[in-house]
Amino acid sequence: MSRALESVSPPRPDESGPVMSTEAFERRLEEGRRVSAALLEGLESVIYGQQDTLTHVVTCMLAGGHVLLEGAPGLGKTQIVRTLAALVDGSFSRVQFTPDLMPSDVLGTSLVVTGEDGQRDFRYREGPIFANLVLADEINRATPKTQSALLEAMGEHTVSVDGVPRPLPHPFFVLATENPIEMEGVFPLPEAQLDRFLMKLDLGMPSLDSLTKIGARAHEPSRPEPVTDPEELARVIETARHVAAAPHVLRYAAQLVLASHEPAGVRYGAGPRAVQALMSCGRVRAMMSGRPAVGVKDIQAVAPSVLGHRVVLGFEAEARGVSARDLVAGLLASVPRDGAGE
Amino acid sequence: MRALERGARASLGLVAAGAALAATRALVWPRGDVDAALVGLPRAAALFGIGALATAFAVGLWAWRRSRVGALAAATTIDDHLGLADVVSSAYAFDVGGDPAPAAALARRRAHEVLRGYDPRQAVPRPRLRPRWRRVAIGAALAASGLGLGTLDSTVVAALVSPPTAAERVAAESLEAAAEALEAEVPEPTREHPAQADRTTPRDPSRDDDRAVAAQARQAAAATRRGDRDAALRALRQMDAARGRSTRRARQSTDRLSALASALGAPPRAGRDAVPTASERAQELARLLQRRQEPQDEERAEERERERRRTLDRLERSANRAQQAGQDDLARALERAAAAMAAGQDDQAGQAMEQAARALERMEAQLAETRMALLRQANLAEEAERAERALQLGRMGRGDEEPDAMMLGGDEPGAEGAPMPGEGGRQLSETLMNRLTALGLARGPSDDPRGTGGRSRTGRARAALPTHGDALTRSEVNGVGERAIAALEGLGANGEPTTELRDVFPSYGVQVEEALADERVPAARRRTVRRYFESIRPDADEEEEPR
Repeated sequence: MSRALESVSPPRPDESGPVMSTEAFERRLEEGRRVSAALLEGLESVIYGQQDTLTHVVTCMLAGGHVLLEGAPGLGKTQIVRTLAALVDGSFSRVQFTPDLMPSDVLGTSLVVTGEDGQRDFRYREGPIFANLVLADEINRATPKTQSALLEAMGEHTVSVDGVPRPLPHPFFVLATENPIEMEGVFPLPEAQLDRFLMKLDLGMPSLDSLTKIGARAHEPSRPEPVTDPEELARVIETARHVAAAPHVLRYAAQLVLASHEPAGVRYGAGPRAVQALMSCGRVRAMMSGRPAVGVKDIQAVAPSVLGHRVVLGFEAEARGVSARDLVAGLLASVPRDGAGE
Repeated sequence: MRALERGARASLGLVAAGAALAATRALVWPRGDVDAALVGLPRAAALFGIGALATAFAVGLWAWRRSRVGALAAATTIDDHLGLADVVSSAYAFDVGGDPAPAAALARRRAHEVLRGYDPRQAVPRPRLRPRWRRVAIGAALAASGLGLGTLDSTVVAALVSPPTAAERVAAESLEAAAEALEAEVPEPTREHPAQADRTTPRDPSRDDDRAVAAQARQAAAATRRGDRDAALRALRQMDAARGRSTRRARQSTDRLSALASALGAPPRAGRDAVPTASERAQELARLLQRRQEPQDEERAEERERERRRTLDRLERSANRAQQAGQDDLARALERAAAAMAAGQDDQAGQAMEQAARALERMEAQLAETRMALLRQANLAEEAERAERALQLGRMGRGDEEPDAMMLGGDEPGAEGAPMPGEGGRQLSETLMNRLTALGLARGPSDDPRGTGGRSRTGRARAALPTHGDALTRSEVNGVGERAIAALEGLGANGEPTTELRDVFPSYGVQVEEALADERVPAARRRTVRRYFESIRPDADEEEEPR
């Protein structure tokens, strides 16, 4: 133990790194902690009773990923994105996915436009995806073709129309929703496309106190004042990527992903992208706490939402009523962390 | 310090393990038949110590292996103690890996700030070595239970619940004394011939039997004194088995000698000693052969020739019997005699017959020794039966009763109202018949002149035995066992035997001892059977004291 204490010595001056000094990073870290706290505070002032979901949404946004929200209508999904857009002072668009929605309705299309000089020409008209925050409402009601167009843009952060790549605004955050009821005539997202979402969150019913507070609100909540701007948000996202991760924490995340293949009833476990997702979300969680290094507890906090939709259960597990979240909870209880139990 | 703490925590486990092992003392380290009753406690205590020490060693080894904590684990322990999210452990990892990233440097700096002034011993609190009285009480109760269970097994419990009765102690003393007397009476081996002085005298089986019987009797007496009735009864059964071997050996010797005597075939003489021994017959034959050299008249030559052929035939048959009986020396002597006689060398035949007679004398001496051994064991057997009855009564919780009260009839000779010798046998027979009649196993005294047939266990009436001429007797064990039919020869035409009882009784002794050694004869009834045979002994009335 004393060896461990002695080894944690103050950093030497020449260890600050070529890109950023320790002091600069500390300032950026503080900035990230402040922005995330402000975002959470702003969201919680409008959305009642969904603290964990809001934390995960902010985590996901600061990690540069996208969120799939599953919940009944009226639980505040649109309100979350709308409030978030107001808080970051970014552009916001909402796309209601329907079976007749075409990819061009999402990505945009080239129209024939007559110029002032009478010349006719094709001019690209951006679709609703060109916004900082996009709400893809009931994404599973659109055809796979339209879903693929959106998901490709989410992954590439670029839209290619008529052979011309068009970058999406930065930061770019998609919050897609699924309605767990009225499942007839829908197109469930395949597992490969679910993997594009950093997290899948289940929006549950608020508690009694939260519902009471919601009922007491006589007017629609006012649009909150911005707490940051897209530029600062992009910087915070970049800061989160610089949060350090010790080898034993990385190994723990990898062990979790590997262990997701082992339990009985699992048809497919999480893939390598899950390790990246775990680490990026864990880094944001560390940054939100003002810590320069991600810890095992950060990984454990985001693991259910990150791994839950990446584990495909077999028929036996579903027949037994075992959910993917139960399985991940079991993994968290069984996978040992390095250094514990030596 | 951690080891001390773990040791303190494991102390109750050590006590429990020792107590568990001590409680199994009866299985792991059972008491021997010769051990005292209290030997269980020290053995249980020893097992307690062994169990506790072995467990302590195993726990210590495990704790030692577990105590080898790595630096990362130590850092994690500090994180857990301070409620930090891998601040110290991550900083340690960055430091070991030499990560130059600003985040890693910042993590190390913050860990250093956290650990400034921190005493790592806070992460591992001091063990509380003060005894907790509840644990001490539980440990004491466990130890006491284990030692108590280990001390007491079924035998000891039985001895404590039902200690040896006065009758058992007296019987044990008598049995011990009888065993000592038997050992004292065992004769030392003798050398028959000076030429054998440098050779080892062959072991006499009867002496070995005496010693085995005496040893078993001593064991039975010791087990009786310590209240281990099962062991005592077991030793008594083994003693009976040893006696049975002696009896069988005596019977085999008697049969061989009888067969040889019959083969040698001299005519029986009248009187009490009408049955000559085999050696007497051999000596008589030798004298007869030597007398053949005397001058004889011509009229008797033909008769002598017939006599010669008969004698030759007897010698050959006797040689065959001796060969079958494994008496090679005797067989060779008889063959030499037969060969010499066939060659007309009567002198040499007579000398060979004298050698045969000496061999037969040795056999008879050995038989007499075996019979003496049986007689020596008889007293011990009687004491053993008394002890067995006392043990059975003690086992049934009737220790205050006299062991002899368990006997059929229940009367001792000489006691008030007890039958006198000779009379007792008849009374016992009547008592036995009455009981069998009451049980439906016999018809009781019958007026049927054909005799009594009795009734089988299945209720079927058996044919009555004829009262004159040769008779067939049936024997059947429990109605399902092997059946045997034997002819009783010698019954005259009017039911009167042609052979006197005193002539055939000597051979009954072996039969009696063999029957009494049979385990199927109940121990409590053996004394009755023996008294019955004693009572019908031809010279019983002539002796002053019945045996």
